[in-house]
Amino acid sequence: MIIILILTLVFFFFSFLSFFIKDNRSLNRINSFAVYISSLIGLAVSLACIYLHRDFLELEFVKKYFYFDYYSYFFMLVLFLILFAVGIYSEDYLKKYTKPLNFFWFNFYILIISMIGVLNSRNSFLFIFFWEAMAFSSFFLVMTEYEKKSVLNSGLIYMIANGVGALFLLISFSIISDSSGNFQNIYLKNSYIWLMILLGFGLKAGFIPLHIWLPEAHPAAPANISAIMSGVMIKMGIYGIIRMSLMVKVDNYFFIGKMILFIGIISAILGVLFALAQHEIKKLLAYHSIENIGIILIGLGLSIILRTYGLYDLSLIAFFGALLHTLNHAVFKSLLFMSSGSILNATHISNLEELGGLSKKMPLTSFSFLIGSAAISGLPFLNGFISEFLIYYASFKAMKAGFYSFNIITILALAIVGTLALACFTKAYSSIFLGEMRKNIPEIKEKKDSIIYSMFILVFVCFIIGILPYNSILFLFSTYFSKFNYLINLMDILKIFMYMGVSYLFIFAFFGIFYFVRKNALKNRKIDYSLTWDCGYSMPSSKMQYGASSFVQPITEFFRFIINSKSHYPEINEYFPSKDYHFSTHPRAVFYETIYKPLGSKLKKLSSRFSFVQSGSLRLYILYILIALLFLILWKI
Amino acid sequence: MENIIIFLKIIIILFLAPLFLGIINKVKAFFGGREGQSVFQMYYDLFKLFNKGIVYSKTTTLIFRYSPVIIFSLIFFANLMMPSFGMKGLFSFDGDFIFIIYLLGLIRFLIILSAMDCGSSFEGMGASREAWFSVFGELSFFISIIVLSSITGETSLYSMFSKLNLSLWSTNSAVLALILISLFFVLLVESSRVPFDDPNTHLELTMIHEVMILDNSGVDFGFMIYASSLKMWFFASFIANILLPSSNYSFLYGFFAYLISMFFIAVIIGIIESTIARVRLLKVPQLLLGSFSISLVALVFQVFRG
Repeated sequence: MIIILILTLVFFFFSFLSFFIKDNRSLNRINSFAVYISSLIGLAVSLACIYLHRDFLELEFVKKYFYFDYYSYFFMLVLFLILFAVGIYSEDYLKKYTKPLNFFWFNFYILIISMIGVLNSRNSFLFIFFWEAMAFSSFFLVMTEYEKKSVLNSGLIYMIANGVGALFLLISFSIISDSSGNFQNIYLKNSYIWLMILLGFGLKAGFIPLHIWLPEAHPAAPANISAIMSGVMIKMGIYGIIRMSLMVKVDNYFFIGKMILFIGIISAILGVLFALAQHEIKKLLAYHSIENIGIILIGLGLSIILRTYGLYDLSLIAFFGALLHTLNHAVFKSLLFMSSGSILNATHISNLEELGGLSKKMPLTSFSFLIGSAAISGLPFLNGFISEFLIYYASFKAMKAGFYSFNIITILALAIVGTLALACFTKAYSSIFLGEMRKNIPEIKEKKDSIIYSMFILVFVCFIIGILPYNSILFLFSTYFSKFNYLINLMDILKIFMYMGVSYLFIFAFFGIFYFVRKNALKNRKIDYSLTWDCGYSMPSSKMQYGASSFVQPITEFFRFIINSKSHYPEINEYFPSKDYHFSTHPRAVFYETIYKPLGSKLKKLSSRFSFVQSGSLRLYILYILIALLFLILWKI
Repeated sequence: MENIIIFLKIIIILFLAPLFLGIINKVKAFFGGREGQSVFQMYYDLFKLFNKGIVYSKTTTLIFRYSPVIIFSLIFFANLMMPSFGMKGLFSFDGDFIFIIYLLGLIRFLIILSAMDCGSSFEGMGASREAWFSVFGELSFFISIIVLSSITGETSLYSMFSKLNLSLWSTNSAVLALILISLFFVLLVESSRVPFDDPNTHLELTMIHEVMILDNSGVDFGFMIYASSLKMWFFASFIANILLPSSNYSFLYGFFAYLISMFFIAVIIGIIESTIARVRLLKVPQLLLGSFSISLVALVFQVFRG
């Protein structure tokens, strides 16, 4: 506990120090060093506390206002792990900015401190304070490239989403905290409070339909900020929901579980469908964040439902799935955002349709993006599979116990999401890295700098959790395994992961054998290099390749009623077309355009009628305050 | 005993999977009134391909080079995990089918990427179709497993199949028949057969699986077609396990029941291929949706029966 506090102070110190360094280069170097060293320490502390399930060096007066328990340490593990990689990444990534970055680094530290604060506050005032600090610092970080108009627009949407979310949280906290503002365990008859909680935290977590800021803010922010925001910051919403579900017990707990499960299913499926239609790397990744938040919520909702059924062990397994997916998503999504930053740095193109063939120029970035894509599609050998397997397992086992409806829905939702995510990431990877380059960019080079190192740290984590599921599960959830070692299903899961590890060994062995067979067969044979088969056409052009939107066209066509992409093309009337014709598709932000934009303009109209209230005269404002105070006093009497 | 069985299994998988295709082709030739190619044609093809050099496209990367071998070892492992002749697979644990389905997902991931690696629009088309059609295939497969699991009350492949016996068949015949039909569709779509795809056409624009491996040659091509025959063997053995439950009988009975039902499945595929034309490509999703609905009906029957 003390070490975390000291780290916070260190961050605080550096946040002010960063104002006094004039040179950008040394600023980035010093700060990135400070970030990754201190987050390495934080990582070690949170790992130790999670494994030994006790806290070291506790302070009584701190414990009154701050939590330092399993949940806060688990989320701090996520935070410090991502921060460690992002810290290393930032040093060379930020080289592209020539403007002074002092304010950037200041906000970076404030963001870290406020996230640590949010994860530990036991008091609602403190919580809201840190929550708002997190919102503002991340807003400034998103606005780093404020010169661009699109960034300003995205920043505005993000700002509004933050404000509305905080409002709902204020209302719900006023009910669940005692007079001094401390959170308390309460039991309520009705479950309306949960609606507020879900709305408040949902706007940060970004599940559908509260997701509109995600696909706006992520493309606008620099890649390292997107990595932190998508990897860690939106998880604060998940943390909030978990924390509240521990404290706020309501009569109809089953209903809450159902609500979370359905929100999760809808976000997961719609998120991946919207992602399929996207052509912009970072927007695509942002929609996948929505999908993965959905999967986490599916795990949480299922866990609550199974608990009301009385299946405690399976409920725990689904909960493990949700928690582990939180960690996994943080790892592979940050990895993907970081590699997208590397691509953008090298090519300055964010449209999938114009990229291609980068694999030969940037092999290391290509490898890390490949691992990230496979992990996010939930494929074996990598971490995404393990967490999805836990949720699948819980629902299959619960079905065995005789509970059908929700478990079947969960399984089918996960299956649909898995296959569609696979389609989406094969599209993304192949249109960025495979084939030939669609635009000729001569001077693409990949330097072996901190960008690459940091990505490989996350690749390593993906593999560790994926290939050694037994060890990592046992490590992360040791608290539960030692406390509930009488639950048979819980112990079974460890056995299963052991089998899985051995299966991986077998597959490696088979690969070795067959690779040897292939090598022997090729011993005295000739290997030629030639063109791709093109039906005998002798002048292939890179434009003839199958592009991203053609790849997903059958799927987007099938789901046209949801995705509703617009396509633009001129009519061709000539028999022998001589002009240049262009075809383009534009994915739409469905929820934003159909719900929020009309709502926003209506609100604007309505509020402009009341604009006389804001007259600009200070005396009038003081009068308002007086009236409000008077009203409050009279009301209390 | 178990080690011997695994060894026997390896031999059967590796040596009989190509024969499966041979039987299909023989049936097709019979219906066409031809003598047809030899049943062992696939072995000759494989032998020929394993003795050839390779031509790589200059566009391709390492993914294209190594995915045939990786795909082959993955599908080989998946086959080993499948219980057959009433005996356990290599491993059996709760939820092993999820693991296997996701291994098949990894295979799909690799095959799509290696197709896209060539930078050709033909291969792109095939890859796009594979990605899309497998959504339904996997869903139907999952639903069938849900139904099986709820009929038998078990959550691993071996225990599900070992609980399946004639008395369960007689009480659940409608549901089991429905999922058999839907699984048969899955088999056809996953191994790219008529009516979804015709392995004999050589018009690149309408193919699915064959077009994805258009640029593979030599040993790599050999691994690819071997892998696709193993994939077919995998799905066929899944069906065979339901068709003739053999766990409560002697090993010899199980062994022959398995081989006979595999032969039977190959003949049925042959009959289907020679009597039905392939569906127009744009209609394939509708057909897939139909087969998905069949499995859904089975699920509804099973769940609401009480």
